[in-house]
Amino acid sequence: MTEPLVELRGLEKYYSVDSGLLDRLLSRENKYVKAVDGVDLEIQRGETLGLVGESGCGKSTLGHTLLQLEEATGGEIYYDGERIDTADSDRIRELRKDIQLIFQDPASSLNPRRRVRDIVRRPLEVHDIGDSKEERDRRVEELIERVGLSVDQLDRYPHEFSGGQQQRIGIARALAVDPEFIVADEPVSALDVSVQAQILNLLEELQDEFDLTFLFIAHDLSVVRHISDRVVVMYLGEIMERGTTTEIFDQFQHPYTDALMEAVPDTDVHTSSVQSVLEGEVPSPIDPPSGCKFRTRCPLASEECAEPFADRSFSESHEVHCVKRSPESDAGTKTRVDEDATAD
Amino acid sequence: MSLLEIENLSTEFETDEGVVKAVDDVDLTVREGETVGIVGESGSGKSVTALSIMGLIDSPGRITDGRIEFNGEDLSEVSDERRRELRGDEMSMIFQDPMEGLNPVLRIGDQISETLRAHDQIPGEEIDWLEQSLLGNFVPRRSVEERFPRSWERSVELMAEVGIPEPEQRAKEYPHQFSGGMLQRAMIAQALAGEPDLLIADEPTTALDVTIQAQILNLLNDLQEDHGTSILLITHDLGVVVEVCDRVAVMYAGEIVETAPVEELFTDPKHPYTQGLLKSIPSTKERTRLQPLAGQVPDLIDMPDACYFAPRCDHAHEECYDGVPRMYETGPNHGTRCVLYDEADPNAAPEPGEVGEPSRGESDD
Repeated sequence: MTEPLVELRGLEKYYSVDSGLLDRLLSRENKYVKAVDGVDLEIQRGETLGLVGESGCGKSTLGHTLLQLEEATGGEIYYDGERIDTADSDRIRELRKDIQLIFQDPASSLNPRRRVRDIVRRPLEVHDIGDSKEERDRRVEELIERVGLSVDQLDRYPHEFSGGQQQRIGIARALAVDPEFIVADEPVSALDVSVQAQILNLLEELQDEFDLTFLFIAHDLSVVRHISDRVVVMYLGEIMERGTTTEIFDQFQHPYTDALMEAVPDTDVHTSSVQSVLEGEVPSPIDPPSGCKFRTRCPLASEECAEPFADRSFSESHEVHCVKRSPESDAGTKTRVDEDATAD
Repeated sequence: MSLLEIENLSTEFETDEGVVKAVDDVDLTVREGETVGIVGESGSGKSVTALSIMGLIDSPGRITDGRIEFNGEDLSEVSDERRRELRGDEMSMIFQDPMEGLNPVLRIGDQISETLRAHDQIPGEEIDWLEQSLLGNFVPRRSVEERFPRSWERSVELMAEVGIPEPEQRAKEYPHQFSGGMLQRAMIAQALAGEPDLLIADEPTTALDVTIQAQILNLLNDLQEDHGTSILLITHDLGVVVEVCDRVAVMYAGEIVETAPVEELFTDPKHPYTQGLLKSIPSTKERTRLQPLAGQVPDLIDMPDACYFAPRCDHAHEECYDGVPRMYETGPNHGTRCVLYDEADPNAAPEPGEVGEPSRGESDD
C-alpha cells in the first residue's frame, strides 16, 4: 500500500473535568472526558473517508485535533510523512494551505460584515498567494463560478444568501488556497434534502477536478454511504469498525454498526417497520465501560467483552472491534444480530 | 370519523417587505386514531399550519381565511377560555427542542404535576384562584410532592409510561440533568397529561441521534396503540414518515401539493415536486447519483397567480402559469395539485420517474 496522506497513531484527546479546590485538597483523582481514546487511522491520497457516529462519539473532536485546532493529549499525527502534532505554530500556519475545513453551519462560519469577495479573498491574502490584487480577484471570480454562484453576487453580504448558497461560499473559501486535504465536518446536516443533494454532487465533482482527499464527518449514514470510499464507525471515542463502504454497509460485523443501520428510517416502504431498537443511551465518556465500550448496550455482550481485546481483521481493509465476531466462523456472510442472538 | 378538519386555511404574516403567505389554502383531515404526516422543506409552512391549529399564531401573523373544525367545534369561534381548555385537554403539542419546551429552573416532576393540575386531572388538587392570579408567582413552589401527592404520583406514572427509568428519582431532577432523548420523553409525558385526542408533534426527533430517534418513534407508535390518540407529525425527514404515518401531506411554499396514503406516496408519487424530493435522498441500501431539484424554495412574498413549483419543474408549460392549480383526484384518497393530472389537458400525466435531470441548470440562484 502506498504511503497514506494522513496517519493517526494512538491519537488521544482528553478534556480534564475541572476539579474544584476541595477535590484537590483531598487529592481526589482528576477526571477526564475521553473524547478520542486511542484512535489509529490512515487516510489514503484521493479517497473520501467517511467518519460516522452519534453525537458525543468524538468524531468532531477527532477532526479538530487532526487540524491542530485542538492539541492532542496523546498519540501522533502525521501528514504526508511529517509529524505535525509537535510542529510549531509557523509550520502549522503553512500547513493550512494544504489542509482546509468546511463547517457544519455555513451562516456562523462566514463573517456577516464582510462581502463575499472579501471572505473568499481573505485566505489568499493570509497565505500570500497571488502577486497582485487583480490576480487574487480573478481567482476569487473563478472560484465563485466553480461552486455555482455568479460573479455579480460577489459584492453581497452572507445574509443575502440561502443556506445552500452560504455553504457554497464556505466551500469556495476552503478551495481558495488550493488544498490537498479537506476536513468536512457535517457539511450538509443543516441543509434541506434537495439542497443537500446539490452540495453532495458539488463536493464529488470538486474532488475529481482538484484531486482532493476528504475526511467527511457526518451522523447521517445515507449521506456517508453516498460520498465515501471507506467508512469508519466511532463510538465513545473509539473505532468500532472500519472498512470499504460496501464492507460497512453490506457486510458489517459489529453489533453497533448493525444497530445504527437498523435505526435509520428508510424511505423504502416494503422493508420498513420500526424494528429491534437499541436500548438505553450512550454511557458517560468520563467513566466509560471497560473492554468493549459498547457492551452495556450490546445484545451479544457477555463477560469476555469486559476484557481489553484487539481489533479483528476480516479482510485487508475491514477491521472489527468485537470479540464476538471472528473471520473464521462467519467469513464473508452477513450475519444480523437479530438472527443469531435471538432465536425466534 | 374525522377528528380534525381543516378547510381552506390561510395564515399570513405582515412584514416590511410585504405579506408572507405562510399557509395558503390548506385542506387537511385527521381521523380518529390516525397518524398523519406533513412533510416539506424549511419554509414550506408546516409548522405554521400546526401553530394555526393550536391557536398559537401571534401578531404580525394572522389566520386570514378558512375553517378549523375539531371534534365538530369550529375553532375560529371559540372563546379564549375554551381555547385554554382545548389546549392540553384535547390537543397538545411537542416541539423539536425539548430543552426549550421545559422550564430549566423547575424539576421535571413539578412541571408535569402543574400540567395535570392546570387541566383538573386530579380532583381536589386543581390550581386555585390565588395561584392563577399575579400573586401566584409568590406561592412557594417547593415540595410539590407533599402538597399535591396525587398529582406527583400521576406524574411519576406518566414518566414510567413513556419509558423513563427510575421515574421516582428522575421526577426530582432538573431538565439539564436529562439527556436529549429523555427530555423528549418527559415532554411527551407532559403532553399526554391531559389525555388529549390529538397530539401534534413538530419535528420531535430532529434533534436526536438515530438510535434515540428510533426509540422515540417506537414510543409514539406504542402510545397510539394504547390510547388511540391521533397524531399529526410534522417532519422534513421522509424516512420518519414511512416509519410512523398512515397518510402524508407534502407541503411546498405554503400549499399542500400532494396528499396520499403513505405507501402510495413512496411507490407512486404524482406531483413532480414529490418525485424530485424522493430522488434527492441518498439511500443506505445503494449508491446512486443524486438528482437534486434545481433552484430553491421561492420567497413567499407576492407569489404569482400560477403553480408555485413551475419555475423549478421539468414539466412546466403554459398552463402552469395560468392560475394556481386546484387539487386533482389522482386515486382513492390521493390528491395532487398539478395541472398534468387535469384530464382536459393534452400534456397528460407523466409516468412517475419520468422526471429526469434538472434541465434548468444546477445553480441555486
